Amino acid sequence: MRKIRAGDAVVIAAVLALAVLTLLFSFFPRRAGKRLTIFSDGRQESYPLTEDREIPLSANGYSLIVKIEDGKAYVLSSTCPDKVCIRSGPLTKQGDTAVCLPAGILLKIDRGGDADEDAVAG
Amino acid sequence: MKKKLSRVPLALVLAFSLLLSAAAFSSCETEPETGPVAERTTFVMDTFLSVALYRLPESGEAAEEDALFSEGFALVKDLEDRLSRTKEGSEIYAFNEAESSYVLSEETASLIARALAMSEATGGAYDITTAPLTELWNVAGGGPVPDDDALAEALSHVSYRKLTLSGTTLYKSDPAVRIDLGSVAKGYALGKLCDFYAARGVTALVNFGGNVGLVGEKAEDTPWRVSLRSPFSSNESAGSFTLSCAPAGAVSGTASEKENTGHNAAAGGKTVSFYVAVSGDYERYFEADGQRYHHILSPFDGRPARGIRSAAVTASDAADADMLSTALFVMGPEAAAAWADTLASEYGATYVLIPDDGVLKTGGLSPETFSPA
Amino acid sequence: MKTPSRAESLARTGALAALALLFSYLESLFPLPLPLPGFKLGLGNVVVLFAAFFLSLPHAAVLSLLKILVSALLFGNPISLLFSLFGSFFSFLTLIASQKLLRGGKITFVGASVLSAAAFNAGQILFASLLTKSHALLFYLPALLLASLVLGGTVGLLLNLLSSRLARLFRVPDPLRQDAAKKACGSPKEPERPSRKDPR
Repeated sequence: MRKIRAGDAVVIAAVLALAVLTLLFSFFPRRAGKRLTIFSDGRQESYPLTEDREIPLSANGYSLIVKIEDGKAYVLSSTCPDKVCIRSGPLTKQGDTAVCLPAGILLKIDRGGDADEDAVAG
Repeated sequence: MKKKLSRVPLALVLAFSLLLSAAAFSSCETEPETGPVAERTTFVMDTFLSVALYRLPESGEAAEEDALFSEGFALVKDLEDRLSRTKEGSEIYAFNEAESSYVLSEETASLIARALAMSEATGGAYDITTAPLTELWNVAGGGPVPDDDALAEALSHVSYRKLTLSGTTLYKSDPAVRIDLGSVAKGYALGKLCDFYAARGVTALVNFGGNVGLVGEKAEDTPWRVSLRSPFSSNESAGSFTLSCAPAGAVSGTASEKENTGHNAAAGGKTVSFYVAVSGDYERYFEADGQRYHHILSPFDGRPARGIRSAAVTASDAADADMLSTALFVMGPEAAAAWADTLASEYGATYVLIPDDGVLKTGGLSPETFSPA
Repeated sequence: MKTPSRAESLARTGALAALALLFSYLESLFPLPLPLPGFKLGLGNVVVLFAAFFLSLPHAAVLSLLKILVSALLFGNPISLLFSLFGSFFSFLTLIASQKLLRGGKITFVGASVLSAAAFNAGQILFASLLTKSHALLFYLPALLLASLVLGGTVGLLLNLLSSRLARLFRVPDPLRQDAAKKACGSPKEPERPSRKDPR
């Protein structure tokens, strides 16, 4: 059995350290999402998670239905080939995303009003 | 062959680096969003006034843009000269120094009339005669906390009932009565400035010391998004308003349908301009003995009003919104809640109150119009 | 060092390319638990790693490109192409570094493989983050890095074990033997008997 060299240990340690580091970062509590923003065709539309609804979308020849239910958003159905968007499951926390690359549609949960505020009152 | 091929990895590395940097740069660009075409800020009435022009009328040129800013700022500065408590040439200063009465300009007189009406309506919670208290507390100068006797003495001259307005002459029943329009001047100026822009068909967003004025429609089917500063943490938002106005240049309707709908869209009765006024305990204050003493003094006990950290009011009239936000702040959560219906029906106003416990209390706002953080 | 003839070289590259494509095909059969379309396991990467050490870096580069293009055409879609490009690019960078390190005796295939796998995965996540303009996907980094560690380490150990035999098969010097590189030209260092593989 070939011995491992010192450098190997260094590499392993470094990758391990990086894994731990990134793990710590992901522990920053992710806050509950308030709003679903759908990016499609250069436009964006937002919907609050508080109201149940079904949103039909279509782009690039593919059709999707996004559903908001019980404070969760998810892709109900899609005509895209790989269905990754559906497998992304329910989105609830800020930053949760689901993407349908063939259709060029991105779903993202955020706290609503942050990035695109026009002014701050107060 | 080996020499020729060894250039390949280098070329690949270069090509990929270019690809990488291109991708990195393209992701840094935010999605193109409608932003203002021009924005300028000035300092007036002891705070920042920022005007952002979004759309100019068709004949807009650079020169006109310039005039829009300079004339607008001049308008506000003129109001400051006339309404300031501290500037010597102002009407308010003159009234305060007067023994029993002073003749005001029509504009100032009508503003005072509105303030007095608000005092009546709010049972005295809103009161412009608090100048003696303001001067005593000297919050801007860092205090100190006045002793009880001085406070009682100052308080004895505080009451809106000591004022009488007849025509344009303002009478005081007590020579020591002094008024301070700080709780309405900014709102009034904001309203006047926004009317100025609306009349010229300009779409704009004005932020005057935290009071926001929206003129016109931001873009077709695009509402304005105004976030509310949290009183607990200056970088954070307590929630976000989504507000729509009629397009600038449209026939401006009368004041909103006075309905409890959250914003002016009831039955299509949108006004061209809309306002959000906020009174908070974090704007001006000093700290002593672990307590925060802020600048919104209660006309009832002469001390900084307690119970609410921030009061935000939306309305289609800027002066109303400004006065109401102060009134609600002074009233405290219970009284404010009881007054909510009147607020909506009389002024077409909605509010967001943030009390000490941080639990938002809103009135007249739907989730579409305001969503808490 | 006896360099394989041009014909041999081409044949080998071809064989490796076929192998890489096979791996890509296998990859495409396994749907990943990650909601990332186009995300690759990086099996084909092993072949590139192999080529880098047992053929040469330029060969590996060409192989890598070929693999990406053809497998994307056959088994993937334009987006998976981009994912592969990103991942392979970063991975290749580490290969360049690993070359020097391995020849210098600092690491074995374990280190090289782990680095290559980690870089490949990190590259893909980076691309996905850029694509969605969100930090959310970086959430997957810890798990992927650990996976790189485990899988890369395993592959590395295997290569360590098989290194001398593979070297003999391809008639190149055993990359793991430091002095092999130093003996530039001349007779190939061919360990005849197992007993010669003495650990360093």
